[in-house]
Amino acid sequence: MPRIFAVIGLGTFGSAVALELARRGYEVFACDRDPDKIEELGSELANAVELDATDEKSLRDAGLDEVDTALVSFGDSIADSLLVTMLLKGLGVKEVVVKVTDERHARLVKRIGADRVIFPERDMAIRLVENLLSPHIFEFIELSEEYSVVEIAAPKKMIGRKLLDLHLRKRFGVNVIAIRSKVPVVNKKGLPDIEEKVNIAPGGEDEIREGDTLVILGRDQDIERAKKL
Amino acid sequence: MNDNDQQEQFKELREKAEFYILNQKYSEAVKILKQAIATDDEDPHAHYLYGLALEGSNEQEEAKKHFRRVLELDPEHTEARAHLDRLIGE
Repeated sequence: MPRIFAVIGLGTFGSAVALELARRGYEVFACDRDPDKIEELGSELANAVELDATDEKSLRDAGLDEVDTALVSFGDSIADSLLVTMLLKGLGVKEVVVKVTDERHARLVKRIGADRVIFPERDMAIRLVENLLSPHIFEFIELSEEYSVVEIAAPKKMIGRKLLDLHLRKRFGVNVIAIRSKVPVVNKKGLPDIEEKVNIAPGGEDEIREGDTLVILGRDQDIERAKKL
Repeated sequence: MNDNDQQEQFKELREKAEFYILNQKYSEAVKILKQAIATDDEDPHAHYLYGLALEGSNEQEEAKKHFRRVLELDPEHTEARAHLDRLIGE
């Protein structure tokens, strides 16, 4: 059975999540207590309902006890976010994901049973800083305190060389898990253009070309060394 | 050099740049297009190619400037618009 989702709180973040899930073909219950938001999204979301999610009966009546994963996305009220998280867990929702605004909020929702806590503003801020400080680092994902995945523009020294000749694993202990290439094409109008192609799990014989972005997995300190190539 | 010669030279540079782009030699194309644009700054296609070559060389900020210039010269240029939108969103 396909997973059923609920998004509670249809601010900018919540509505973007709900719309994206719907676009990908999932059933989404989208709830907010503001009728204007429901009206705004009603044409794009089949199950958008006006609802006070802090009321257990309303949640049950709306069928929220049948969803697999619920996102609680309240912008301003920590108290409401805690209460709704608790109610959803009480209704038996398998996975409750809560958007938090600060560390204290995160600690509290974890304590009352949230399965996952997300901190979009902080995560985006970290990514932005990484990108501002190193414009050639396009993406940065921290996997643990020690390990990360980063996307870096292939250094000039690597261009034209095969992956196996670079000995990145041996020299730096990092793995190239994908290569994103900018491949030239001629479009329908006959104009030159560039398309992005992704080579997942590239082989040793694959050659690094101009414009390539390497997706590297490794320990932070090893990635730092490899970046200096 | 008269105007016709200059135009011929400009066209030649542009064609050369296209060749380099289509062969994924973006940094070579960048060098050529720098020259071309110094001769004629009003040609949207040259700026479009320059934007592509810079994007291909991972010089996103510079690429944006040239895609913007394309749109100043030709607001209907859908390819430049698409590249600029993508680069701004990245």
